[in-house]
Formats: sequence, structure tokens, C-alpha cells
Amino acid sequence: PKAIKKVKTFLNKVVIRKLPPNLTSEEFLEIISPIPDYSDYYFVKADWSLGAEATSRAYIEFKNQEDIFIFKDKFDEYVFVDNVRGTEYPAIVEFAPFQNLPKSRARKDKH
Amino acid sequence: PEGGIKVKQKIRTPIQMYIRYLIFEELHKGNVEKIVKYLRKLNWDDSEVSDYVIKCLTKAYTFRWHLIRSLADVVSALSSYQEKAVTRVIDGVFEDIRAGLEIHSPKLAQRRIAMAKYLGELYIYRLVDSQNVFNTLYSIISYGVTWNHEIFSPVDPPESMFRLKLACTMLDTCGAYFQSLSSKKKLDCYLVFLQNYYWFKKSHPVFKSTAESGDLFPFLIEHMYKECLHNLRPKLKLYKSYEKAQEEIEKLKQQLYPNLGEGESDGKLLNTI
Repeated sequence: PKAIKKVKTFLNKVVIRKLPPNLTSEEFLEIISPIPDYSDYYFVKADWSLGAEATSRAYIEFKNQEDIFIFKDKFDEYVFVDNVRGTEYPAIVEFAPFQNLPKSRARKDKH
Repeated sequence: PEGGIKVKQKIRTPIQMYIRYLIFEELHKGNVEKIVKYLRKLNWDDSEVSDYVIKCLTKAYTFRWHLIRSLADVVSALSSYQEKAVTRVIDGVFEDIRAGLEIHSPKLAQRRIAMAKYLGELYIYRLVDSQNVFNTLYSIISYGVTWNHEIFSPVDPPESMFRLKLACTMLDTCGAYFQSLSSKKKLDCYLVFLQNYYWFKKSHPVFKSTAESGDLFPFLIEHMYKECLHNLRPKLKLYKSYEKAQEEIEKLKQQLYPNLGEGESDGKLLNTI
């Protein structure tokens, strides 16, 4: 059956930026748990080509709007510590600049 | 420098080497469909494979300039089949542009220009919408900009023309594609802000010209800026001073937000976040 494209009624995708470069997805999830209901989550490891400025980041798509504000209150500027460098990394929580692909082009064919 | 520096040899798996071969070596304008066909055959359920493809498709700056369009073409064709992966590529593009604004290192110059071009191409292929593009365009002329010649901005130093170059690169790439009434209006509005930024830069005391020095403002940048605006709006009369640009911004504010209180900073005004 064709996937029915969910229509976004509010911005639900949040990015958590400036996380320690050596942080892993598992460690991150542990720190932020319990996570409110979400429909998607992914973690992006640091891009080491940025050298000393390398950081990792994560994206979460929340199901409920209220949870976003609670999450932001809790983790925006929350200090994560890099377990290799010992450096402090205050996180930035904001709406992801890109929320989703324009609806018109969703015509997924499953193999 | 000899000795001391150890170069870590990257060890790549055969599948990574294959992905690199397809994307970095084989891709050219004429074989986009073929590349997409091969990419679709990869095992996308294996996160090591999909993460690697996503990484390669994000790095537009490793491609020759004219191939960036073909890369966007590949991503566009792929989006029907691998929506999630394509979304992640685009997330990566926005992140790279943002990180560039925060870091401002000459080392990243070429990379930042390429990524701005890439975003413009992604708009042409309708993977991002005009609002995405305008948000980025506004962040380019506002992020870390002090709007005060006496306050130094480490991410936008007075002599640096880089932000203008970035904005013009994006506009040169996709400005002509703002065809709907609403995006035309958005562009008109942006050009007011861009001119204001230009004059903020040009009126900085470091460029104060005397009879002997002549105009100190970089000629090439001036030319690029005028050319860019001329191509988009041939009839547009450019503002002749910072004061004039600021007047126009005021007018625009009154027009768009008649009830807005004072104290809002210029650039932020139209940003969504």
C-alpha cells in the first residue's frame, strides 16, 4: 500500500547541535532519556575535517508540540562533556532548518 | 615540515570504495540516471552503507564546480526512493552552511562557497522550498553581524567580503528561479536587506577613501555584487549610501509590521527561528 504522507501541523523536527565530537548515539540517548514520544531520531557523528571545531549532532522528530518546549528548556545550553578531550560542550537546541521534503514528491516505490 | 606529523591512512571497505567510485569518479552530467540506478541497488538498510552514501552525497565541495548541479540531480532522482536518506543529506547541507558561519576560517572558504551553490541547486530541483533558501540567505547577512563599526565581529571581520560572496553565489545559482509571486516578493525584500548589508560593509572606516587612495573597497566584490543584482532585477536602482539603505529598511518594516515595537534587530526580523 502506498504510504500516506503525514502532514505536519507544526514544526516537529529538532536539531541538537554542538555535541561533543566523541559522544556516541547510545551515550546521548542515555543522557536525554526518557525521551518523549518521537517518530524519528538520528545521530550524526562529528565531521573531523573541521578539526578542533568538529562536533556531533542529533535530530529528533517529536510527536507532541509541548514536548519540544520542555525538551528545549532542559537541553538548550545543557553542558555535555567530551569523554576523550574532557572539554565542555554546551548544546544548542533548535528547530531543524530543514523539516521535510516538499509533499508533492512523495511517490515512494518499495523495491 | 618533515617528521612528527603522522598521516593516518584511512582504511576503506570495498563497499565504501565502490560508493566513492560511483559518486566521486563516475558521476558526470550525462550519466546521472545510471549512477542513481546503481545507488538504488545498494543495501540501504545497512546503516554503514547508507551513512556512507549520505556522507558522500553531502560533500558537494569535493566536486568540481559544474558537477555540483549533477550531484543535486542525483539526490533529486534518489529522493523518490530514499526519502529518509535524502532528507539527511539536506540536513547535512544546512548544518555545513551554518557551521561555516560560526567558524569563519579561510580554510573553509572554498567549501562554504560550494555548499551555498549546492543549496541553490537543491532548490532548483525542488528538494528545498524558497523559505529554506531565504532563511539561509538572511542568516548569511545577519549571523554574528554587529551592525556597529566599532564592534568587531570575529565571524564577519570588517575586511572580509566573504558573506557577500556567499549571498551572491546563492543568488547567482537560484535567484532566477524565484518565479512565483510570493517568492518574487521575498526576493525583492531580501535585496533591500542585502543592499543594507553591502553598505554596512562598504561604509566601514577601513574602506574610507581619500583623494590619494581612491576607492579602497575591493573592486571585484563590488563588481560581483552589482552584476548579481543587475542580473536579477535589471531595472533596480541600487541605493547609493548606507543611510539610504537604512531608510528603506525602515520603510519596509513599517509596511510589513506596522505594529511592531522598536528594538528588533534588522536581520532577525524575517528569520523564522
